[in-house]
Amino acid sequence: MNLYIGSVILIVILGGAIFHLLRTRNAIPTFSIQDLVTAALFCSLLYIAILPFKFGLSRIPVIQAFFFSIPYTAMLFIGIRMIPKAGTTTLIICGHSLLSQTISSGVNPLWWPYALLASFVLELYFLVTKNYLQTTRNALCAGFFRGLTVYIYFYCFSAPFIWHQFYAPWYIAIQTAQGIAGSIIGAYIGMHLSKPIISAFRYGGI
Amino acid sequence: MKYLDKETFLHRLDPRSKIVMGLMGAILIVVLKTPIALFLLFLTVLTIFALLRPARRTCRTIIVLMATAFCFTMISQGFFYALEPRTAIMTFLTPESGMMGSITGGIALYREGIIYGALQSLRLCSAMLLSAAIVMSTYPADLLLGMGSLGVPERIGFVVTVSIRFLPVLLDEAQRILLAQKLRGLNTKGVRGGFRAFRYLLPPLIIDSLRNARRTALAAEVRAFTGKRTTVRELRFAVRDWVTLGFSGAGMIMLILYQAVSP
Amino acid sequence: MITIDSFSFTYPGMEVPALQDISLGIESGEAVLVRGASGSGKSTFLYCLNGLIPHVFAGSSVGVVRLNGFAPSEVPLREIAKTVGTVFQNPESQVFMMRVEDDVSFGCENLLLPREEIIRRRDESLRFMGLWDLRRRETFKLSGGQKQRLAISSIYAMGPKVFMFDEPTTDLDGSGRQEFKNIIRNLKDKGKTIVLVEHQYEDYLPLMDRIITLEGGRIVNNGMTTEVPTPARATTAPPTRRAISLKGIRFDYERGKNVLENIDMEIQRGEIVALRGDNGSGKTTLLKILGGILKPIEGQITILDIPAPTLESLVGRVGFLFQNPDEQLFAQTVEEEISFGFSRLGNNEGSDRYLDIAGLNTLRHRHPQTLSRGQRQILAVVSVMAMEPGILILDEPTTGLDSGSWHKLFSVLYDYADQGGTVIFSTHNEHAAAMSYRQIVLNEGRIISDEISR
Repeated sequence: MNLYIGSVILIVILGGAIFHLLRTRNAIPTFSIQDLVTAALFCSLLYIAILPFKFGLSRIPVIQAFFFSIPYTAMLFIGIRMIPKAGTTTLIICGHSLLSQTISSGVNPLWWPYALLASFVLELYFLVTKNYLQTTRNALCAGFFRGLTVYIYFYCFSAPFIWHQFYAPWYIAIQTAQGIAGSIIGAYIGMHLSKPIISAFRYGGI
Repeated sequence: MKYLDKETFLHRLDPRSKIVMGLMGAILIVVLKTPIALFLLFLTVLTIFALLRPARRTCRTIIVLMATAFCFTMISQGFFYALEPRTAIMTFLTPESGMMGSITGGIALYREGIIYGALQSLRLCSAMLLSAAIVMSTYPADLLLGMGSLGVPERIGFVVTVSIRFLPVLLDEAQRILLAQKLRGLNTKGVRGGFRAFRYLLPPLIIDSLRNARRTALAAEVRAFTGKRTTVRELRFAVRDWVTLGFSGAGMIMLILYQAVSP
Repeated sequence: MITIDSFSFTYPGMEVPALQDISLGIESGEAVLVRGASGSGKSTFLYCLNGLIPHVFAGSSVGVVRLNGFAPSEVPLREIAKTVGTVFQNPESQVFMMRVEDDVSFGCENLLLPREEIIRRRDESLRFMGLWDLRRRETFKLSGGQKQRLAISSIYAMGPKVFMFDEPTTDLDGSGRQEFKNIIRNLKDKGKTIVLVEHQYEDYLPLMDRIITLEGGRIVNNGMTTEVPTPARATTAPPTRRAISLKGIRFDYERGKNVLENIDMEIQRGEIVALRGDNGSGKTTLLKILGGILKPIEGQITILDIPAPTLESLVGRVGFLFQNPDEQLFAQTVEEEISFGFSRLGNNEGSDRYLDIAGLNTLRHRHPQTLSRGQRQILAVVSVMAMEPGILILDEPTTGLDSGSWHKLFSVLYDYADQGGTVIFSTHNEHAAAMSYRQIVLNEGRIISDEISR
């Protein structure tokens, strides 16, 4: 239980660090209405992207992590590339989480730190590297961190302390590895698919 | 679980009360340990859910979900139970058998683990029922309003509102695009087909969404949207909210005390 | 109410001004129609009046614009929105909330009005626009015309004196346009100033006090004559072989409510047929049955000599085009788009021929989404044509197209029909229907007329 509270404190610290970094760089982002609407549409698109993976193949828990991470990360990264600013990641991840909870899985405050942590880790990564998925390398690393954070947090914090479920270290390692692999693949797919979209966007057709 | 357009006791509660109840439930789910306390919690939440008088189909879906959680938790904890004493009822790998054995420390299904898993699944099931009850009894706009008044920033509220509004539109569009692709000869069968469909579905869907975003943003501009707004929808705390919260709070404290006192 | 004096505007990075030397005055309560070809500056004109220029769109301007005594550039958008309301073309992207009444109050909420005031305005607007009975309905379930009415209602509740419409009925059917006509009439009765930009404006002419024609960003006062240089209608080859035959077709989505009843028809190869009817007449359902996408509940259907065909058996034989071309463009270059279909069927002919037909040869390496709307529509049509289907079915192909693109589209279709292809399209537009050889009109699920176009 203490570890869970500790993780919540950690999330607050991360949030503070991000805010501080933004303040010192004078880079607190402003979001235009178009940015907000685009982020909103990406929340819906994220929901749609993972819909087919909620059933069928992904019901098999052993390989679920892999299959689930690919479309999620792909769509998320495309969204971030459309609005490359601090805060986009948080808007999309948390927005999607709230969307999902409000219309289907049910509102559950226990999941909120999870979404915030996933957002903050990525935000911090982008802030520190000063790169919002402009290069493939940045994207692959971001995918790595996303997978690592999310699965380690789930298996080492959420599962034991919220749900009181324990997993063997080797199992956690396999799941995390899958999650990381899936996230990296998703990151690559996202970069690949977003390139023509962005060039079309820049060209002015959209 | 979708919003149910009915008039039940739960529906009449302020969304903030329900969110607070959700929080209380969350605390109990984490804190309670003894089987009886967990069972009591589950029964309470089941009663709350039953207040909604849900349709047969919904009950079936939720039963399936709970049964799935039950089975998976039993199996996973059956495998990973690490406390002593434990009795293996089926051994798949002994700790001595080679590298796999020494890394994993042996893989076996333990009786105590299965029982433990069954018990812990009560937490999952309680969480499912409670969160579903909240969503089914609260209109999304009210829920977002409630969350807003409890601290969720306005902009996120707007983002979620817009995303809820456009979700069915995008789902429809995704289906049309997939159909158009099928008609152009794209093979979407099987796993490879699924990935192929995904790959070709995304660009037109995203580009159309981006165009839509631009148009919608203009429409928001001419509606004077700046982020700040007064709301027609009002959240009003009534006596029943205080009473419900009072009872829930008392129940929560009692359950925790009971657990602290019992051996 | 509105005065514009020697006003010019240029978008950033452009050499030619979008608006040149515009001078005009619009009185309070006047209804003005603004017409002009695509690119003539109509939308830019509206944006300069409602404040979107300069608050959302940047650019350099010269001259004076005054709206009810103030200049839009000097006042924040929230203030301007109290005087000017704007309704755009696409109804879907002007609805924000899940429920009708919530959407109507959205604008007022943004104006930070007190709650009782918002409720009063909301209810008045709902009644004025005839949406009172629909006030608790989910917006997703509304028709296009109803959504557009909702958009107008939302703006109306904000209480502006001036209403601006940017092609508001282009995406609507006949009944939607009638509804809109009534709305304009009612707004005029309330003394509102109206500025209407529309392509197909004949229906609204009687309600307009003045017509302004824009060409190349300037006001041209001589009236435009015909807007579409109609290509000579193709005379079809004498009907010989049957393309599609329907007997006794019935269809319903839910038991008891027949969408189509007793449909009997035969379409010969090489014909160009227009299916007409309002929303709800069943024409889209019939179109999908003709394309093999839906199966009739009762009746017999034969498509290209295949009785009761499955969708799979028709791929490559029947080409179906949905209303929105953007949902049918998947490739990354124009060239790839055209070859997408036939390369999957195993043909390996170059796409040059079809690039020529589409007139997109010089644009072959461009990303399809960067083309203009008209070009995208033609590309979508030609990409399906490249699969060399025997039948081409199009759902509302002229939506959102300007006159130049119409011409091009129908030339492409006529050539296709001349070579033996069969064309069937649905439309609620009379001019488009007149381009066909034969018109079939549906009403409430039945064919009420089947005639050669005159």
